Formats: sequence, structure tokens, C-alpha cells
Amino acid sequence: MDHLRIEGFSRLDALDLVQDHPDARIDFEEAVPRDAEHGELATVALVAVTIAGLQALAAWLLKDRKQGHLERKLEMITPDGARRTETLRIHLSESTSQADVLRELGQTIGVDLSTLDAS
Amino acid sequence: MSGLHSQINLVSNDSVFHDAQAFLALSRGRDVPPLVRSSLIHEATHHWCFTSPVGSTLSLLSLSASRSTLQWALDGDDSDLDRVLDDLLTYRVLVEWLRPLSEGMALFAEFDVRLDPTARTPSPPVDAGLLYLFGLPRRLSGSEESPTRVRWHLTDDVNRWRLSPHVVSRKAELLLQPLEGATGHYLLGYLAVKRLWRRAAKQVPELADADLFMTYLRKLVYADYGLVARILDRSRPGPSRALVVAEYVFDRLSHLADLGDAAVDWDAFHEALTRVDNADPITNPDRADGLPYVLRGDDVDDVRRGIRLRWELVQEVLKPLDLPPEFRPLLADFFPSMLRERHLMWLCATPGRWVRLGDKMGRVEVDGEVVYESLTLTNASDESLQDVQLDVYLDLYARRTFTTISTDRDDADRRVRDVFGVISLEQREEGYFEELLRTRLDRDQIRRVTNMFSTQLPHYLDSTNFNDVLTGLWDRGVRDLLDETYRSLAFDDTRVSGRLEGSGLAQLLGGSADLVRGVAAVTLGASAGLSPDVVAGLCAGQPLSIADTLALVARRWPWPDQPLAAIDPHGFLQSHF
Repeated sequence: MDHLRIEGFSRLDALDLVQDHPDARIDFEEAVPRDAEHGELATVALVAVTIAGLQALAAWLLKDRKQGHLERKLEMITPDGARRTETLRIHLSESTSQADVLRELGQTIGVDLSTLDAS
Repeated sequence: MSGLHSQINLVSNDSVFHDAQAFLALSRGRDVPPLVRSSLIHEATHHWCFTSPVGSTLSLLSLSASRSTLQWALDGDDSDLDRVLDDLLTYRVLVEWLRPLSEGMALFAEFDVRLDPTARTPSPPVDAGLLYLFGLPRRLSGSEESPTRVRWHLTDDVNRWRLSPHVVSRKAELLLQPLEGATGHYLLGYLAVKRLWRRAAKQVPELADADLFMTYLRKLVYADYGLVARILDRSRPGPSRALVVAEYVFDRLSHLADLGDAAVDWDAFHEALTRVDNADPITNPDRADGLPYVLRGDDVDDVRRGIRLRWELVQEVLKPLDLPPEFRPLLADFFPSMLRERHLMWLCATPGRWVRLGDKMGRVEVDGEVVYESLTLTNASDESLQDVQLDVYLDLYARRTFTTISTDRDDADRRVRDVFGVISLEQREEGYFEELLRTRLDRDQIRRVTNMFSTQLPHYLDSTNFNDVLTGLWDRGVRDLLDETYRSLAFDDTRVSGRLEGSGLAQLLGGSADLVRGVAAVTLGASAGLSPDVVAGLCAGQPLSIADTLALVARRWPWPDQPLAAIDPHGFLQSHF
């Protein structure tokens, strides 16, 4: 199964979202600190590319609705380890729905939502 | 580096902040916005620990190894290969050994250390917080109220910030971390520091002051020349040197757990914190420290040996390199520049525009807004000067911020950064700016060369058995020993650590994000010495009330003698987390 790698998606975010999206599979990457680098806790989520996963991700992105224009890098990882990075660009407003964001997500990562597993 | 969180490099002390542009406020004499407060306190604490005898020694070890690999790359000279490998092994093991402590202290500063303007000798992170995050000078000078009332309002504002949704979420995220794995050092290190604090405070009442405790802890480990002497004991091969150093660090930390009747001479301690400003950073690299602090029972000869060995290492790093011409512009002055600037905390950079007002006179604009109204150049020409760059720095130890103004020029086939001005809105101190302008202050150079070394070093090491030796050391028990060491420091009871493994607190709290937030708020309130009612008022917007949080935790947390979120006998909030 494909996964989307997203920086800044926290464990607290995952706990929040799992309540409304219990079928979403969200894991966290073990980011090994590099030698001399020290700093704030960095979280990187791995969201399974299913309908439930993308719906949870859409809900998370909508938290930044007041930001207006949102630009976010998404790294797609396939089961064989291949990676490609896409950039989601979307304008968020009070009227933007989760379905709107979900549709943009699907287009950005080049996935036909109707072919995805539910969970 | 990810752009979404702040980081600092131990070798160069170079910091990179998320939302860095918020620090431009300092160049305009304004307070830094609340959203970067936590990041600044966190990274300032790292910077303070890395600008220490031990921090600078680790940096010098890495720089010495980098020098040698460069020489090897240039002329094939690997005559000091064994020495370099031993040094690097010690460096790598100690950096990982100290990582939980380092992150634990930075998180302790973020969440638990009170910003007290009446402190006798506030730590540099606290001092910077008071000066630049909460505007203490502005409050005192602009207010008709008494200093006491000003301090009350300041404390209220600090508490409001500490219990804000942003900080509560940060604390909640920490509590959700696992105790093991690649990010395990955050929660484990934090809990170790907190428990060391509680135990020290029980034995020595003065150490109930979290900032004083953090300063004492730093002096004990990071400012310990005895540790420096052991790090630089080249008579020992790398593996045994690394183990000796690790064991010594544990003994130093254990001292805090067993202060007993040891009386601390606080006058001598505070005197030892008095910093020496305006000294040459190369001959006096301990800008963050005053006198070496020697605990009762420490070996003074050990301390003297550490001072001497570090000085010899400085000389080693500064020895001129025989560089081919194409490398000289980038590298010829890199090592002295690095040592001269390592105590300065870079905050951000922004492009600007020089608008000429007369001969060598002009103003500086950023995004069309005038930042500096009228500047006169004394030693530089403004001929064809137009595009400039502003870099904002914080000198935590001289208690000032300043902004450099620079341009790029072409030199042969490369761009060179020329700093032609330094501006500070604070009172000018004799000699400070003159000393600054003797340094290169070229952040791009520091990053480029540091990255070059970190890319080059693996190639050097791949041709040796270094990686096998290091991996073997970790796999044959050193990693387990590190883990056990910090667990023994962090927990009174192994049953607690056992239950927390895996998902942190999430499982114990039934996977409820609201409850985790409530617990985070209680822990923050406990460190601030607040009652449940006060915290409830500050967190009125949270989905779960403080009262409900306390009730739910009482049902789920089976260790009342190690409270997660509770009320103490005096009616104040209590937490070991």
C-alpha cells in the first residue's frame, strides 16, 4: 500500500483525527537525529493512502483554513520504496469543504479516489 | 533540515528557526511575537549548553577531525588517522550519551523554568526571554506602576503564554512520545531532568528554583573541565575513552540525586557565573561561563588538565592549512571565524535596500518599510550600494541583539559576503562592535563549509573500520546502557516506565486527545505553582475542564505517589511529568 509522508503532522493531531476517522492508518517515522543536529521535536507522519487516510489528512489540512493559500509538500512512498514529491496548492476559505480538499489531494498525488480501499 | 521545526548544530552553534522572520522585530526594537517564544527558549538553551567547556570541546573535536580529512583529501596525508578515529568515536558516543540530557534541559526551559526578573543570576535563556520575548525593559521604563506590580503583570503574561493552546499542544505532543526509538530521548531526557530537579530540591531548598537548578546542572556537566580532561585523554583508545566518559557523566548526574548534606556555597556559585565580556573568543571561548566551577570533592588538577588540553586542541584546530589557491577564499579563515562567532546566535536574514541620502549616508528599507532611518558609513563606500542583506543576531551572554548589514560582491569566480555595518538599538558598549567587525559574520560560509565537512567525512570513514567499531560498541551493550541510565534517572518505579513504553501516555489515557491536552495543562500549571482554579481560568477554551481532567486521571493513573495530574495537600497542582 502507498503511504504519504507528511512533516509537521503530530501525534496529537493523529489522536484528534482518529476519533472521527477511526479507519485511517497513521504511523510515525522514526527520524534519526543527524550527528550534530539538535532541536525541537519533529514529527513526520506516514498516512496510508486509503479513503479513510486521505479524509483524515483533508480534515487536518482544513485546520489551517484561516491561512488562505496553503502549500504543502507531500511525499508519496510506494511499497517498493520508490518516492516522489508533489506539492499540494489549495486556497482555503470558510466555504472550503473536506470533499474539496480530498479532491485536490487526489489530483495532486495522481490517485483516482474511486479505486482506493476504504481503509 | 526540515523547515517546519527549529534546529541548532552543535559544531557551529548555527541555529535555524521555523518562522525566522518573526525575529526581524528585534531589529526594529519590538518584542518577538508569541509564536516563536517556545522555539527561542528551546534553542537558546541548546546554544548555552554548546557554548560551554564541554560543548566547545566536542565542537573542536569535530573540527579537528574535519581538518584532518580535508588534509587527507588534498594531499593523501592520513598520518593521524588513528588519532582522528579515536577522537571521532569519543565524540559520537558522547553526543548521543548527552542527547537526552540536552533535549531534556531545552524542554525543561520551555515548560518548567519560571521567568523571574528578581533572580540573582538568571540563566541566559531566561534572561533573553525576559528581555526580548516579554519586553521587561519596556515594561519597567514605560510604566507608572511600581516595579513590584510590573513584575506581577509580567508573571501573569508568562503564565497566560505557558497555558496557551500552542504551548499546551507542545507539551501534549511531548507526553505522547515513546520512551524508546529514534525520538525516545525527548521524553526520557525531559523526565530525567524533572526527577533530578525534584530530588535535588528536596535536599537543597535553593534548587527548587528551576532556573537555578538548570544552571547548576549545566555547570555540573557541560561546564565541567574534569569531563573535558576525560574527553581529551588521548592516551586511551577511542572505545575505552568513550566508555570512561559515559560512566563519568552518569556519576555527575547521580551526584544530583545524592546531594545529602552537601552545603553549596551559593555566593561562590553565583560568582562563578559572572561572565567575562569583550574578551577574545579564541583565547576565552567560555563566553557563557565565568570561572571554572569546582565541586567539593572534585580534583583541581583534573580541572587544570582539562583547561590545558582544550587550549592545546584550539591551537591544533587553528594551525594554518596548506591549501591550494582555489580553496583559500572559502577555507583560509574558516576555523578562526568559526571559533570567534560560535557564541553568537543567528536568528534570521532578510533582503533589504540601501537608499542613498547623501555621501556615505542612507537609510535601509525592508519591503518598503524604513528600518533604519539615517546611517552614516565610516569605513565603507556606498558607491553603487543598493541591495543589502540584514542578519539579526542575539548575543545571549552580552545581553544584546544586533543586526549586520552586508552586500555580496564577486571575487574571481565566487560571491563573497561583505559586512559593512553593525547596528544595535541597545546602548553602545566600548569595543563590542569593533570586535564584531573583526569577525567575518558570513553565515553562508559557515553553513557551506560545515555541510562540506559533514558530506566529506563519511567518505573518509568508509575506508576504515570506524563504522563497524561504532556499531559494535552500540550493539554490544552501550545503547542498552544509555537507555537504562536515563530510565534509572527518570523513574522512581520501573512499572511506570514499562507501561509508558510504546505509545507514551496515549494508551493509558484511553486515546483521548482532549484528556492529553488537559493533562498537559495541569503539568504546566504545576510547574508554574498555580492552583486548579487559576489554570481552569487560563484554559477556559479547552474541551475538557481541569476538574474533569483531574477526575479522569485519578481513575486511570494507578501510581498516586508519582502523580501525573493531581492536587497536592496545599491545594496546588502537582505532577511529576
